[in-house]
Amino acid sequence: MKKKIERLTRKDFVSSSEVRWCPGCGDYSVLNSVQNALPQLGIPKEKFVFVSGIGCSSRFPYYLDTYGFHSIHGRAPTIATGVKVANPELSVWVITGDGDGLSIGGNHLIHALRRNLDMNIILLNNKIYGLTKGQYSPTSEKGQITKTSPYGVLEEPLNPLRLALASEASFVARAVDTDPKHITEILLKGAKHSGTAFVEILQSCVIFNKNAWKDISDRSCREDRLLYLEQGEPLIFGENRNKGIILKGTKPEVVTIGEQGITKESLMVHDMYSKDPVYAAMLTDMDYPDFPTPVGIFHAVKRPVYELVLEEQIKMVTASKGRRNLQALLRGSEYWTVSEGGKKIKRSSGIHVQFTDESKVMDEQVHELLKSTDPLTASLKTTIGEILYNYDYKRVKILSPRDSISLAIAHFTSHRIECILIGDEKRLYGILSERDIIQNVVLTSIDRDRLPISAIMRPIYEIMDESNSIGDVINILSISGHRHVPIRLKEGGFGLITIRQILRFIHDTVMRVEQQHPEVEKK
Amino acid sequence: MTKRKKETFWAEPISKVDLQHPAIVTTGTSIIDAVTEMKYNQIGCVLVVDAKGKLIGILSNGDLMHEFVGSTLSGDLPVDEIMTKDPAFSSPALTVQEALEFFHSNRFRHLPILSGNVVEGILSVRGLMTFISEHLPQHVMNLPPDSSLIAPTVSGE
Repeated sequence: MKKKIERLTRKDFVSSSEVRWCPGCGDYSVLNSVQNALPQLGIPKEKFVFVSGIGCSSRFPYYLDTYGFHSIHGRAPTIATGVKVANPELSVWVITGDGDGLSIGGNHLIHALRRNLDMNIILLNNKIYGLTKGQYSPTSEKGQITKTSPYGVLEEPLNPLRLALASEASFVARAVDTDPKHITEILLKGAKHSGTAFVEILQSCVIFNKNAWKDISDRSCREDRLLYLEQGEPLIFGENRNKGIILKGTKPEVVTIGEQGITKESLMVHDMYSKDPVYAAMLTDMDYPDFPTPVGIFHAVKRPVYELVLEEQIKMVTASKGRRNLQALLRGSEYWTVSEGGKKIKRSSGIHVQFTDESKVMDEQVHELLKSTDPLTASLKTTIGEILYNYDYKRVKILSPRDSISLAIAHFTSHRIECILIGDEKRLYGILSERDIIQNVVLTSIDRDRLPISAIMRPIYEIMDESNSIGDVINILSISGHRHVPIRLKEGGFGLITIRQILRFIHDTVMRVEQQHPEVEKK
Repeated sequence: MTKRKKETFWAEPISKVDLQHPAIVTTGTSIIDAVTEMKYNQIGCVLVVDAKGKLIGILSNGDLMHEFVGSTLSGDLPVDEIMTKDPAFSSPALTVQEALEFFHSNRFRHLPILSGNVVEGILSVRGLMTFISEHLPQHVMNLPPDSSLIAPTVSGE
């Protein structure tokens, strides 16, 4: 079964695309580390998929000679989830940044971590939106001056690792861009971890935030300011390896070996396998200058892997209920075919789907609920077309928007109408009611002979069709706040439905019902 | 009048309907001021009361349109000149059915509701329609705000 895989090298993962990041960008070193790590995993090249969102770091998939998606802003974890579930054999990697992963895709990230698919998420944290030229991001420091915070950021920054721990991530690690060897080492361990490996890489944006991590990542001071976490080893750091961390009560404290009776044995010992995330959370709280900034693997626990339990569940359900037909489900008991650019709509009875008992009961309940025995409620389904002709629909006047207000007034007084439609036989532009005239003519000194109607008409909220029901009209009348709704007539032109007509219809309906059913229960 | 309760809302008293806040002016107020009062209260009519607060007239947009806008009358004239005198009014005990019948057989759009001499509010055709439609939520209230989005039947049947 085991096929001998060709031994791959870094070169096999370098794509022909020209790498376009700013000279000096930390992304180069991360790319390099990834390209160094991949051939060491013993996975065939065609099994790698890199998914990214939007941002500088999200250009990664172009530069790796693997399969890849440069996808939607913040949604890389989601697309990666789909890729992994559909094909669990693949080695799936998400490349994201502090903006893409923590702001735009914050929600997607926490749920990907919670599900624990066997994949890798690399979050490049440069504490700034670099691609869009320097706006502050969710990890920008309080007080930081950026394009969008000229007087300093007011918000508390997010700690990506603590967010990961809170999201029940099963593997949480950190590395810095100035130590590519360490990045490779962490990525390899993450890739071998069964579950989602979340790795934050502290990386600087050479243009917009070049000092983001300068204090801790500079080669000259790294030993003194970074704490490299090693499983089973004491928390020790410093150029002379003489400083360490002890636990005083529940708080960590920096001590010097050899002072006040402190020996190497007094130091805390790193245990990344601790099931309790409190220890790892304590490490994430440590930060330069009060503490050395820890890098390495903070937390690594075994948890069920999503795609495996999903597969198990599918197997179990299939065993008890049999395989289902997706086509049948999609088509349902009937479906519609739209052809000739929407002109023809054909209804077909398709493959018959066997409903389960629950869906049958549900269906019946819904129908029962919607079945109306009350005559008035039923009458609300009457279409406008059916009643329009009984209710003076012809009493509508249409004037042009260029006609004068005087002409409109003449129409109002001679025809005893409540409103006038403004437009022509084909199009309506507005509606003019008595109120519009009164409030404009009586209260202002407009020239009614010269000013066109368009100056005082109100826009049409909606034009309805004869096929709409009385219920629809009442709804639109309530929402629009108007007393009239224009109706597009089948024979061309426009009619009008007013609240008064609706009330007449309701009145007539109820009276008719009472006459037809004189014997009604006495409550 | 029948005492049967066919529709739940049919015999409800009008006091349960949301009445509109009335615009009220006293006799002798100018037409301009009366219209200003209407605009301020966002209502299509204004009630006219005498010095004791007794309702003596009503002025609607319709009255203004037919008696004033097309005429040569001055806006400074007292509102009494063009108002409808001794208007129809009703008490809060009026039922929805009676209100429907009132609007059915009259051309008015507003009906003042009075308890004794005190104006409780104005019953409008809109208020009445809204009240009735609240009793029919499924077919009126719970519909999308754009009629083209309303499905002709449930689940496309």
